[in-house]
Amino acid sequence: MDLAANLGAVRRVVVVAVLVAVAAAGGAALLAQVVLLREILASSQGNELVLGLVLALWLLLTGLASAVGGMGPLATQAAARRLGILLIMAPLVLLGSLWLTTWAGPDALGRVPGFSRFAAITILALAPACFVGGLAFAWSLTTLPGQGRAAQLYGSETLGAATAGLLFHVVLADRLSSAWIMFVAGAVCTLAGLCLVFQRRWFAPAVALAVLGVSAAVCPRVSAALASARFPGQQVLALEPSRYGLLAVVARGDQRAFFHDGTLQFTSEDAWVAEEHVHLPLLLHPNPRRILLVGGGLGGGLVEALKHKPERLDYADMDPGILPLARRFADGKTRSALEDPRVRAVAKDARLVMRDSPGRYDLILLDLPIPHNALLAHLLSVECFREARRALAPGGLIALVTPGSETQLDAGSRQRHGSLMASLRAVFPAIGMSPGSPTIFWAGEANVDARPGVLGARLEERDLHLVQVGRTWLLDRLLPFHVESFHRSLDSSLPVENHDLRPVVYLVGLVENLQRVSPILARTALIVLRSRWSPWCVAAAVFILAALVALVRRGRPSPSLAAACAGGTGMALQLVVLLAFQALRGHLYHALGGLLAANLAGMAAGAFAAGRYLEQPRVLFRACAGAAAAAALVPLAIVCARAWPSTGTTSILVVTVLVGASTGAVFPVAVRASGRDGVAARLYGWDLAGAAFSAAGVTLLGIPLLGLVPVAALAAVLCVAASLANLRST
Amino acid sequence: MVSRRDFFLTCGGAGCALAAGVSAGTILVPAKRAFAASSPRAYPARFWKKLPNKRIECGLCPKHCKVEDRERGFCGVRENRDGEYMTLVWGQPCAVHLDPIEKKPLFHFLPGSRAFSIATAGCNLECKCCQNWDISQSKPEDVDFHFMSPEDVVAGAKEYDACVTFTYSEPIVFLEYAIDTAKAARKAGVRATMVTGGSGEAEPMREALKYLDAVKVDLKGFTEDYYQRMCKGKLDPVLKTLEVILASGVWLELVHLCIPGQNDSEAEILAMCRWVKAHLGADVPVHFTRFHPEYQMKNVPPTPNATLVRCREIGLSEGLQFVYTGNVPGLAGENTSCSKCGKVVVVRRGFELLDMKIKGGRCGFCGNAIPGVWT
Repeated sequence: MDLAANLGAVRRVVVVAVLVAVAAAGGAALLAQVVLLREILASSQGNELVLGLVLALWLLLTGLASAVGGMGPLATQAAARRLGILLIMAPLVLLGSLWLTTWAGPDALGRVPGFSRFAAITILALAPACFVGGLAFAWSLTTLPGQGRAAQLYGSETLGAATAGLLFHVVLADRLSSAWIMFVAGAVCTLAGLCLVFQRRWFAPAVALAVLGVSAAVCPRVSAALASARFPGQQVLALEPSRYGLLAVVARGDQRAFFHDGTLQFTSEDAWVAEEHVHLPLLLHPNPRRILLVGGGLGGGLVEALKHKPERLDYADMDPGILPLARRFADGKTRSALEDPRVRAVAKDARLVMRDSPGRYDLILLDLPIPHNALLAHLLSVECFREARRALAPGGLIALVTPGSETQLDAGSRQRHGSLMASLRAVFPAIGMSPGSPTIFWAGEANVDARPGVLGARLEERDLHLVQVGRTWLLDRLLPFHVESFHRSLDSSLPVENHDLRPVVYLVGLVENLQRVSPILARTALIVLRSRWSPWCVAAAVFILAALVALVRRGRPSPSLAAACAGGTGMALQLVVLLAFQALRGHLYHALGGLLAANLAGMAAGAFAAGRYLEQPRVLFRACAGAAAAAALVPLAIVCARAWPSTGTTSILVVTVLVGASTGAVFPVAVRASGRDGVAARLYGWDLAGAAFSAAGVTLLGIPLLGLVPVAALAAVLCVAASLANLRST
Repeated sequence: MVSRRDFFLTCGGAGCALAAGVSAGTILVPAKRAFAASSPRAYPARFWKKLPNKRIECGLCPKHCKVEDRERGFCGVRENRDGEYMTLVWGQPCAVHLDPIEKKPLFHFLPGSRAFSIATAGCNLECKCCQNWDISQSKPEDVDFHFMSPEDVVAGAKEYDACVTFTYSEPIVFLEYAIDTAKAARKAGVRATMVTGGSGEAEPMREALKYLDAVKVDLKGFTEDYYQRMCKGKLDPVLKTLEVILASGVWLELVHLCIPGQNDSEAEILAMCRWVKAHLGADVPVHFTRFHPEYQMKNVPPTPNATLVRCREIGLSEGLQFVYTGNVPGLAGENTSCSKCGKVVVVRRGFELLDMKIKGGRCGFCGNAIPGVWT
């Protein structure tokens, strides 16, 4: 009796130790995922579509590791030992993964690697961390066999991941560097692993201590390697993660260059460049007293705008990290301009500034790079221009200053510029432009007099003695034949409007890639997708097809199809939510951990709740239908987030949890519905495969072609198909 | 449970349906390239020779491309059609603009005048920092172009009282068009200038120089490694071109675009200045211009002003008389000073001429001859 009780107690201790170990592994995997995602995002100049590719690779590699870990016969004690050793070594493995991301940094000329090299490096960098997570789960399943244990382990893993994600968002993101976060994640794993092996291996604590010591010593070197990889051969004065990405200040001699996610923003010696950006728009308005400047101010734009003696100059830069850096490193004139009493510099989304200022501004000047991600695209969308129109005073103007070309734009740039023009046209009745480098668009309620003579006269009235901008410069910028030729070239590019939830930057990238493969296909994509209704037609067509397939199969229950659809839907919706958050809020870089944690918490809750309803009739059909219903809520939440910014973040978080819960519930139900033992791993594989393919498909095709909301609708369609296919399930 | 067979059958069926739909769409949509304007016309090229089996060897530039039938040379604008080499850009400029002459930059050639600037697609180099890559790294069918005969170009220049300038991309690759246009300009009393990377063979260059009034050459670096690594070209042919231009008597100015960390070392600048003085003379103006992030170098910070100032100091200390800084209006080094009395004889701000004290090609203060084309 005592022996049995003792054995039972030991067994319970082992179970708890394994559950804790797998929770630690799950937490470490989540932290590693978030850290690596952020590093890779910063290496790819903030292009959010890499999220989908990284998540797809993460799932595939984790699934592969899980499959490798489950291969061959393995005794439970051996599995426990392996699990313990793996977790003890975790800090070194995670730091190794982080170090490998340095290979994805730019070369000496600031060029990011091409797609295939980037993908290969991403796989190499993710593989070690993925193998920790995948092998840990597989060996824990072997250590604690049984159908009920699988659900427990899954729940424990997701709970660990959700906790880690929350911890990252609330505490770690603002306080620790990437290397130290990896160390913390690995250290927790080491302690958990030690609990599994120290009773059998007397030297295990010494090994664990040694691993922790070496990892702690290596952390600063990894941080230094990350910094120097981003800016090879340059002197980095500051490297700071902000809510919106990675900010850096680099020195060469007396010049200070400011970077965001590896993209050059401005330098301290750009004064005359700022002249070309700011004065033409300001001269277009007869008397600009209240000006809103968005972007470009810290590179000399503020100084130049003040020469027109406005009453008030508001400068909005979304990133709260940039103004303190500018006060430290920008040139003296810009620092003085920031202290000018007429200048109000705010670290705030310009759209919120415009929303709070109806009828205030004579001129709104957007001096931004051509958008290459959703973060920038949301400042150049139709919705943004509508808000700008409301913020303009009577007779007010909006001006966009973007990089251009002295000669002729290449195809992709023409498409992007055409998109800007089309988006302005959708809101303003009168539009003008000045092609060149930079290209300047302006728009308002009525045409403005943009004759060089008129603008030259205003130059003199305002007593402006400028270095570069003068009457000759104005003449050259506004040559009629040049403007007409530019206008024609933009019209011929089949421009597509840029909307918040359908960032044209993704479509242009896809069309550019298609152009290399088949120009006919590229043109077809543009012709079809110019219409606002075309994504919905595609969604409807897919729905009809899926419903037909499902109805044909309705007599044969399909847990594997349900698992694959749940995985695919969950991933698609997760990506939609992440990108919608970026498009509407902009600080995905900071909120990534929290959003992933919300999804995982939902999955854990869903898996737990589903366990209580496994005996219900047609439970698989109900689970899939629930997932479809949750998917249908996503577009609603996104629309609410756009319409009511104050409650938007909450609605996105709530729907993220609901989606996680509904898709997380499908897996245990599918295991139960299969009615066979030993299928959990196979169904997990289907789940992962569905998620991985969904991530790749949504990233490469779905979101660029259709936009965010139609993709969410398609995800709901898939779940409806899966539920119909399981209509007759028991 | 779905069997593997069912799974693959379903995927295969879906894939076939998608492919069929796309194919139908592509057949129904007019077969036009997505962004192309129209097909370029072909005209007989010069400066090439036939090889066996319908192959040709181009003689326009040091690359000496050996081109198979239906293939193009490195520049992408000259094509072998049935053993005959054709240029696809004659009379088809894709960039037409009016610039101040100082923008080329040509500081000792008709200051304050305008340059009616034209360019076609294509280039025989591939510079990673190219400021006009949109057209230089494009094929003719990938850009919007106009049909402009040499007479049209000259008429345009006359309308704006400007000289004709072949610039932006690389005039060597459209040399036939440039020569014909320069001839027409000479006939009409209009000046013609060229802005080139200088990577051309002597014979074609001499032909063009007969009708040109000024040439500005980009001396991109002063090591073979730089030219190979950054431009896919060679230094030596450029140096030979400079000597050919000097020998022809056509006005010559040089530009060196200083790229941080790549070609701005003091040793390289020193070597360049010494070569210029020894082989071209102290009177050839040299411009050290600021690099602006572009093309494949969009995230390299621009040249610090201190670097440009230092380069100018090196040039002046090596005895070059006219050394300028460029692309930074207001920086010291924009004005022209007399080499004898040291007084400023031409005042500029950016591309704008503010004052000129040169009369009959001589300093308005001491009468010293100032090299250049002033009227």
